[in-house]
Amino acid sequence: MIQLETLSVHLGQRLVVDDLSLTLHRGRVTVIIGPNGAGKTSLLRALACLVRPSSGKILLDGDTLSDLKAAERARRIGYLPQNGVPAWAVTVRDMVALGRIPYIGRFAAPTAHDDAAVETAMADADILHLADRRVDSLSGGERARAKFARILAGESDWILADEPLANLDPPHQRDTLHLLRQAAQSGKGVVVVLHQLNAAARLADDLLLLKQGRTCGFGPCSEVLTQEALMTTFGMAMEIVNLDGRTAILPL
Amino acid sequence: MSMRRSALFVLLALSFLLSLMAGKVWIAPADWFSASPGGWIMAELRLPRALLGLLVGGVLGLSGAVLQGYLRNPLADPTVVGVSSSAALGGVIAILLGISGLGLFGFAMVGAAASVLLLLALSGREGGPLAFILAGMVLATLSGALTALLISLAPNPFATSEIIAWLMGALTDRTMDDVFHATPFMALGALCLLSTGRALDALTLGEDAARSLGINMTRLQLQVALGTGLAVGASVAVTGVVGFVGLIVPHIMRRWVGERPSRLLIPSAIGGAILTLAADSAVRLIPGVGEVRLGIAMSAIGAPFFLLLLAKLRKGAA
Repeated sequence: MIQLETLSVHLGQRLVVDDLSLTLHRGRVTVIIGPNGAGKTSLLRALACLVRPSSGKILLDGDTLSDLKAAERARRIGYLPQNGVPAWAVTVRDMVALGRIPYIGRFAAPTAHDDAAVETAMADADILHLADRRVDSLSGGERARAKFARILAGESDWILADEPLANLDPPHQRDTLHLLRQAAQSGKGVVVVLHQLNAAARLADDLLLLKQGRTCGFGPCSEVLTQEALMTTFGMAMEIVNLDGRTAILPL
Repeated sequence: MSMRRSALFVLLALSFLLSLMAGKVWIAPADWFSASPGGWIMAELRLPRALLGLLVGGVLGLSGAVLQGYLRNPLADPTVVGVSSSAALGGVIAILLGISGLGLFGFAMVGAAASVLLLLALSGREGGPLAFILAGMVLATLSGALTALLISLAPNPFATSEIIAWLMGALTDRTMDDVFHATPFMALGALCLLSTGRALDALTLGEDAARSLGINMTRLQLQVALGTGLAVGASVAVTGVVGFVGLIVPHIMRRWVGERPSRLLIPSAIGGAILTLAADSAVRLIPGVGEVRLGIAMSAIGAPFFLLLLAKLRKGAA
């Protein structure tokens, strides 16, 4: 589990995460939603140890996150950044294999287990048939799956994903949601920043509503997702409707 | 893949042999170890020249591949980050002071060292590749301006022409002493540069992804700056500025061994050596009174070649 204890994060002079205390659990998908500039990405980057908290701390299964060695932290937390276009047209297999970097010494060769983890990750993300293709020849959806496979190859306990649905069409959004859900079912902790409220409602076990770095609600999606909470978070009226057991959120 | 790598080694051996044999006087292998004039030319002139071509080309190709990987930019090379021009500035100061040989080498290395320190200070502890390239461009411009200033202040036309000739880069009339001076720095620099492979691979996905994979960006920046300073500084110190090798060789090698940064490093070193040895052999064979300077020849060959490559690249993208 990941515990935030009175966590605050500054970007320059600006306070972007304000005194946040909460606990995230493995085996569950936690979705962070909130308006632009609410501090969602900053919070996720703090969890990935990419920004230093200005006060408070983050505990990863009892260990203070900032005290962990970088490789150890990387083995336990996988981070999927927003819209990264690969700089070089490497093959899909090479890109997925980057997920093994925290396990391999500077000059060491990958072990049989490293290779196996890469193949398994590609199979789980359904991209084995693309393994020898160059990443610049992939469609947007295929590239998203390849990047996700890179995270899976890292065999981390936690997956942090920043807007994994951006620029994907509905079928590929569905595929990505499915991969995230599968990861949680396999026992990983999954934390996702999303802008699509309907997708959030479908995916989330736990929902974290964020506004100006403060929480407007955190807990099981069914309890936290209310019209009042959405109004407070986004400053905009939305209707939550139930269609045959599926939740849909309609802006008014 | 391994066949392609073997092909590179064969080409390297051939271009090294060519560099030993080619020139106004062709020296057949039979004369290499004889007491004939051919044997003397081989030992005193051709061997140091070929060795320097190998070393200089190698580190230029290698540092180009590392810088392109680090900056995630296919247009980067050692001249962009200011190391070459700062080392050249050091060399120019030495020439103006009437210092040559090991002294000139030392001045150029001090110039390179200063550029590395400034580069690290200007780009800051937390500064990533973007700050690094901006700092590098500032340095390159500044040392270029200072060099121009010194040339304009040169006491006599002879000094001016000596400086300009040195700046243009050449392997002419080098001795084994130059090889001995440069080799330790180049070897140390190459070690620094070669140890960046894994981090450069991680950077394929961007800085955040690399850091989340456990890569220490501060350390990487230090390795890149130090490696480039030592290796390229030493190469400028013995040959002057030879451009384009660091820029074009990684591009050629990407087509040959794929784009993964770590797999590009050794092939780029070999490719740089091949290109430099071949170009240096060619300048000896061009008929005429004098010899075309290697730096000029390289740019003359390099620029059109690079345009061709770009055109092909665009066709591929279209």
